[in-house]
Amino acid sequence: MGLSVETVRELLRECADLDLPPAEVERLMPRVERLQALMRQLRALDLGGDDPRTTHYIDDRRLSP
Amino acid sequence: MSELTTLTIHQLAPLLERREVSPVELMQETLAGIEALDGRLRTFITVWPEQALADARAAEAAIARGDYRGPLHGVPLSIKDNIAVAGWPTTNGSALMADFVTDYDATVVRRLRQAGALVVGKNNLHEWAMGVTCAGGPFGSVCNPWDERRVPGGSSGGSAAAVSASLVYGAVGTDGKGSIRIPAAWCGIVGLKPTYGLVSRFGQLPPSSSSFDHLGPLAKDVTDAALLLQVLAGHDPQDPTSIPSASRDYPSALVRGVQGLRVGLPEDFFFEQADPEVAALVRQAVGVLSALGAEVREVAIPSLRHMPLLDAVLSSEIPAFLWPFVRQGPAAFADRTIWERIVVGQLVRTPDTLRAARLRNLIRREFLATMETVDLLAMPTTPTTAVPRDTPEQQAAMPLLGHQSPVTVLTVPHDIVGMPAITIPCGFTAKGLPVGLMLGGRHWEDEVVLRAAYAYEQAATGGYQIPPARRHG
Repeated sequence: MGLSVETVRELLRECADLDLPPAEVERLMPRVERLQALMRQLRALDLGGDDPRTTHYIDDRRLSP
Repeated sequence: MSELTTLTIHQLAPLLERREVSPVELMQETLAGIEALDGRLRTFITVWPEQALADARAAEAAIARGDYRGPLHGVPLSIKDNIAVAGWPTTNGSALMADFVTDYDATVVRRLRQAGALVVGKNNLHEWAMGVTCAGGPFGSVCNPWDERRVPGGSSGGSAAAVSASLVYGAVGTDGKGSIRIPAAWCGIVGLKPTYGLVSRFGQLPPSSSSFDHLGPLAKDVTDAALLLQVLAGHDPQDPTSIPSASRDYPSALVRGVQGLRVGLPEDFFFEQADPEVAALVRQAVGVLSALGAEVREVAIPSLRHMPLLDAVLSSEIPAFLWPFVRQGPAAFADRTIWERIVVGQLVRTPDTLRAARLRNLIRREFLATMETVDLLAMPTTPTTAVPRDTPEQQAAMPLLGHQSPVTVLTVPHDIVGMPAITIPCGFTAKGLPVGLMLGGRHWEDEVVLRAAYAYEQAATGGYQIPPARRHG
């Protein structure tokens, strides 16, 4: 289920200290939905190295440049 | 307008050194060219004739007393307007920074001045360097010198159009998703994104995406790009991402040819997405490299197909600096989509950003493995040629969060991995629009990229071609 306008408005207010009128948030919704779809795809990717029992710092690819 | 202004730096330099051409006359000719054409092309945001002429007089006096500093001495260049030049505004193509003036030069500007180059002005760009059209901004829409109804590409579109139209001899731009290479390809010139860490970014204001951004030269031909890189490259303690490396002689390396170099064709990603006419011209260019002695083979980098997901990294990296402006609301941005992208980027969660970083590392590892089997990659710089202004094609060129711009899709990979990549003109479509061949190399092997580009240029195109905007005035 997607995020509602009111939820997005609340998230921006609480997390980014940005208070936007509902009409402005409504205009953002197509982008928000694209972002959600993107994140779902990203989470579904098998990037390997997910097992906490066998991953060493040398295998940790999260932060290394 | 004088023929002098259509010369390249390497053609001009001996004339300046022998005092057959005066830097002051040259600057006057340059300013006359800008005066005549830039009302139409809108490649500059700031031009400061008095300062430029004063610098030219100083260069003339120095050369006269035997203090010749090298091939950039007395040569008029321009700087993208997100890079600081002391005493001049650095606007980022935004009305919000129209009055922002630094009292210091960016490192690249300081290095150019030390080499005797003359800064003529600051080039127009896509607002905040966050787009590829350079259209609709507060300082006017930049026109492509090959077809003034089309955009120049971006975000360094003013820089590329100015060099292409011979308004200056070279320029410095920035490249985070292709912003040097895209406009260089669409305007029919050479653009180099160097290895990450080779050219200082001190004075690029504000940083937009530290792990993606690079500074580099836009030039009329490959030799000029090498001459510019020679001056721009070098460690700078004022940039924490600047990496000390051995000094290299880029211009001297040009003539070594491509005999025995292994050139990889990444068919699975780069060619699949290019227009057939663009892909055909690039394949022809690769055929030239092969005829010159390069060994051409197919390679694959499968993880690149996930690259659009990396927008998450960019989305969460940019707002840190632009957030104070974002808070002023969408009306503060000429391009509303930039405001929208940054605001929506606030919804990216940290675990997703870390996951995107892992994906980036996966792509980087595949690139590194591929580059152990070849010395260079050869591919199209952009999938299409320059798009017409104020059309749905222009609209489609702008990146959407989570949907990569069709224009940047081929240039972003080398920003992700930090390896050097150059674009050089490789022909024209039936509509007379330039097409770019992109050559990418290993980290710190910028000279190999330049050397292959030079070999191709010498064999196939002969170098700089004057666009209609300049030919017909």
